[in-house]
Amino acid sequence: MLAVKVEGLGRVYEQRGQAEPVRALWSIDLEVELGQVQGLLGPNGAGKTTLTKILSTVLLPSAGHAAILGHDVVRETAAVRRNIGLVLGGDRGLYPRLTARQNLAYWAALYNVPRRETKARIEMLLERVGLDSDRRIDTYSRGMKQRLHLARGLIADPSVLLLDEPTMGMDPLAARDFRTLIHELRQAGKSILLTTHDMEEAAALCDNVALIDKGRVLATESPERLARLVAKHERIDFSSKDESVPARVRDLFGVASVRTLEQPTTYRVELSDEAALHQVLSFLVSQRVTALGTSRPSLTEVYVHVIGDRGFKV
Amino acid sequence: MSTQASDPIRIFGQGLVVGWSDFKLFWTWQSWILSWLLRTLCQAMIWVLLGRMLGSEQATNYLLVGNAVLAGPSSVCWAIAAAAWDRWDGTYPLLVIAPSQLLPAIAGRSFVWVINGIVTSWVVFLVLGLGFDLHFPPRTLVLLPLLTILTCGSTFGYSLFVGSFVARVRRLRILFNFGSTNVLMALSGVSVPITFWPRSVQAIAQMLPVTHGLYAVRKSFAGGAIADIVQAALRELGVGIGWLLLAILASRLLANVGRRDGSIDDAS
Repeated sequence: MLAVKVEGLGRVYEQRGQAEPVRALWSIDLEVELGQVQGLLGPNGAGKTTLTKILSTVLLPSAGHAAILGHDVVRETAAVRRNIGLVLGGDRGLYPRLTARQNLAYWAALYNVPRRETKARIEMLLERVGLDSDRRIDTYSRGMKQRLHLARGLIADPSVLLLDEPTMGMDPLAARDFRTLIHELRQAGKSILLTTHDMEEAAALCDNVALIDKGRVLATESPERLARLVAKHERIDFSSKDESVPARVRDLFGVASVRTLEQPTTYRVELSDEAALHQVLSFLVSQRVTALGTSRPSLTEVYVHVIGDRGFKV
Repeated sequence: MSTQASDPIRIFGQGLVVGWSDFKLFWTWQSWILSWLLRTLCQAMIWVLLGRMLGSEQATNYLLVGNAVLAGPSSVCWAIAAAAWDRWDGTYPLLVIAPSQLLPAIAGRSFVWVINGIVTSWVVFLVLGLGFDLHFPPRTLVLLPLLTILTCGSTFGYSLFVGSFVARVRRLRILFNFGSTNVLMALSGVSVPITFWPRSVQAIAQMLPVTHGLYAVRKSFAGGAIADIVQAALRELGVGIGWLLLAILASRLLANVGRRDGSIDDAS
């Protein structure tokens, strides 16, 4: 059984006053294995949140099917709702004038957590996310609120977690702590769908990443395999003040290109043949180049390569 | 982890905790007494003084009883506006997708306005009743608290129904809130007897909260037969239950419509 299965999923929004409906999703296919962390990566307006809304039963699809643990999100809504935890990003979705404990007690009632288990469950969750339970939420920082969002999503111990940009607006340290929590949840066997446009987050947490843009899935692979979509082979970065070195590297067997990086004396060698790696490294060492290393493209580079560098355009 | 069957009373109770926190944001004890209670007292007193100007004890008592009863439902109508607050907090979509019914949560959060209404109505009766020499028959001392609770309760059913729509269109919350108070004030026999209205309007008044409850209160003050009072109270109860059932249907229907058109987490 799959944690999440999406087949040909589409969603059209009818906009009042506009003749043409807006198509947010075009026939999307996606599968998330049990216990896997699946990233949904894409720019604003790509359709990530629409997909999360459909999977969490906030929104009905216009076409196709989606299922959580085999339960159809349209026909078996109650079963889906029992098995998911939706975690939103940002300040909204909490009762700001209540304490963390009061917030969780409310959601425990709504998720039918037995009364006798509620107190212990709340204490366990608050300890796990490291929150002061007796302070009102409106005194919390963004990072603390986000941890409470996660605790709320976990109140009924769901098998599948849907995280919609959970680290949005968090400072780097808070985001790092939050990712540690997600990592622990993965180890505890939770299946997680993580919507983000943070490459570092996706690379650090996800088993698989789906690149989504304009309502279509462009690629779904592990971060490493996605990197291979951009560069099939490893590449070498080096620094040399001797300007003849890059020209001579370019002539070596198996070298596809040599280009200058941000600093004028730093170069990147793209290989067309894996066998050339050893030869190029040996040559660079023989030329007394000591600042060198091999790398794969980062997820950011993959993102720019596949989605395109469109600046502020959505 | 184990779960149990949905427990609407528990959800209602937790919602009440949220509602109380909202209420405390609006009022301190001082501001509640000096603004809410004083304003309500003054509003009712103006009508009572109009009765005095007419030189009619009967008119004075009619206006006092009507406006003291209405002090409760006019507070309860704030539950209409409160129905939109979960949209404000961004918790509405989370409530919709929780594996429980939506209405106990919404009702719990807004029930504080019912409590406020009951207390306000009692205080208005006490202050204006003593101030304007309203005679409280012994039987009325027992029935009046119960009938004001009933009237506020039936208005709550109505407010939850109207609130279901306000939860979809938040910007209309104040319009629906005060509009409903005005409709009750005008049509339910508060200051103007229902018989003054055309028959079609009288028919509408029969379906509104307050109408029958207020009639029962007036009968009680007038020393009417207990059977008449009970009958009117039962009609008020029926109206309240009717509105509550409509509210249950409307909240489910509108949540489903929201899933279809994508408006559940629309903050408009």
